[in-house]
Amino acid sequence: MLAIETYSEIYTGDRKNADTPQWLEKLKLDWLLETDNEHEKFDNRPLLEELDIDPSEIWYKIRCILLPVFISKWGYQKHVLRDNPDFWGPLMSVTIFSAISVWGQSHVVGWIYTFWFSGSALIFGLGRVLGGDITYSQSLSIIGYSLLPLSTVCLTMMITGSCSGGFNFLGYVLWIFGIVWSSYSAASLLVADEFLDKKPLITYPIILLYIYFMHFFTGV
Amino acid sequence: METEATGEPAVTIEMSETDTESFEDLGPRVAFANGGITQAEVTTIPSVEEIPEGTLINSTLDPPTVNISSASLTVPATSGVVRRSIDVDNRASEATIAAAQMVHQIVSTGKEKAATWVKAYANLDNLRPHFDVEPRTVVNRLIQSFVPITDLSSPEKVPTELYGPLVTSLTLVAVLQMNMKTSNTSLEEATLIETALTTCFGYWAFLTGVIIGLSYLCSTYINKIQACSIAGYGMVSHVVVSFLAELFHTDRTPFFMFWFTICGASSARMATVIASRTVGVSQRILASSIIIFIHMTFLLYLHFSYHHILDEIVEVVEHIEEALDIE
Repeated sequence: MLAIETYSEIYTGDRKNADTPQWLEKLKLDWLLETDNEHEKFDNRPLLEELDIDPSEIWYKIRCILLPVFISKWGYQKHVLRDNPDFWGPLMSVTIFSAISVWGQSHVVGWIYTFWFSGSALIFGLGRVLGGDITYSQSLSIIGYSLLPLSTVCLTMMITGSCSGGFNFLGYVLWIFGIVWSSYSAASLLVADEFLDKKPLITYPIILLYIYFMHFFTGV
Repeated sequence: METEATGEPAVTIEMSETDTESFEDLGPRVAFANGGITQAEVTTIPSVEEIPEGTLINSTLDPPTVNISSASLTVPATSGVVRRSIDVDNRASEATIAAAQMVHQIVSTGKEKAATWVKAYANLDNLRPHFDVEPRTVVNRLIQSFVPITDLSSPEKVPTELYGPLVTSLTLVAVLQMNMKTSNTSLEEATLIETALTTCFGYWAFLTGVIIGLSYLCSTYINKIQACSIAGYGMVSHVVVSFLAELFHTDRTPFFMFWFTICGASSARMATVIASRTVGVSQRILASSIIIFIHMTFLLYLHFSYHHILDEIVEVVEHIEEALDIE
């Protein structure tokens, strides 16, 4: 009896169709005309809400990443990036960097995403074994967001033509500046107070990771 | 076994867990006997075919009683009623069992996933002794990787730390990639990063394997983690020489100088550490010479494979020099 009761409990309520003929109900076949209206409630929600995307929060985080030094003076809470990691913002950031780097080397996209995931895993692992209390999602989010400064620098290099082959002083300066900017943004967020004395040990792999990303831009 | 009522032979139905046929398809008796109820607790019902005709129609005997673990069911004499009531209860018991199985499956899957995560975190904690070092310690070990030891009478202490070697390998990947780009190295069936990663981590693993093999052959007192650490710190010289060769890439001479001094010192350090932990002079010589040979040859391989001198730059410089001489 349990099965029948469970069945009748499930197929009641909103699912009942008002136009169901009486004879079908008598035959206990009214479930044939029942409709599932549950999904309509979800369909009415906006896509951003459904995907848990908050553009204002993403914009806030982007400002924190792009201006890591001055933002604290203006009252911004940088630690939001660490305390409330998200996926879509970093994904957008990595996609922008891929789009900038993709010219003439379509296979670079896969490498960029691979290094984003595996590099974040490496940073997360190192952070954990060095005594930090970071999670993989935090690492993934911060490393992803911190690609925005690198994207900005790469775009500047493209506009100024300093990413072409041969010795180019401006290119080298921008190359180093981009890596320092991104690494500082990421390291200042990933290195928590509990292992501040080991900051160089976690910062150096982060620098290496952004050097790899810069190499992807100049040719994989 | 015979039923008490009729004295006829009972129907015994045996089904294994692997049987996939629906119980309903096999009839109510089968469903009844196997619907999650222990067969030992079921009082078997005589089959309709096996009951004598007269007995079935004019039966004045008491109906057979069926015991189903907690529920007790009295089966009337009419076979049609038996069939219907058994059908309903059988479906109910089947649904209960299916629900229980589903819950069990969900719980067990959740447990497995949780156990996997806990295991992964636990494994990370197992690595902590090999990575949890102070920055100053790492810097000291990096510097010491170029200083050969002089006293071979006592075994040199070898760290079991892996942070330095890991980061050294990652640095070598970055430097090697830079070398490849400077020299316009083009690979037909691989990317630069792929080649650099494979080369550097492959060499680290290979050198570790060689040290472990030599320790087995020459009776060197060294474990696998120590071998891994020695090999990793040995690669610091490759990073330094490759980077310096990048800065002075218009001529071969600086490279050979760096190769001989820096890489030589690093190789000597590795060889002497291994020798200090090896008993026997011939074993020491064998292990040391093999390690020095492999280590120094690999740097030559890196340089000549992935760091070509830019011929164009050399030609331009020569032309400028010639022009200046003429003037």
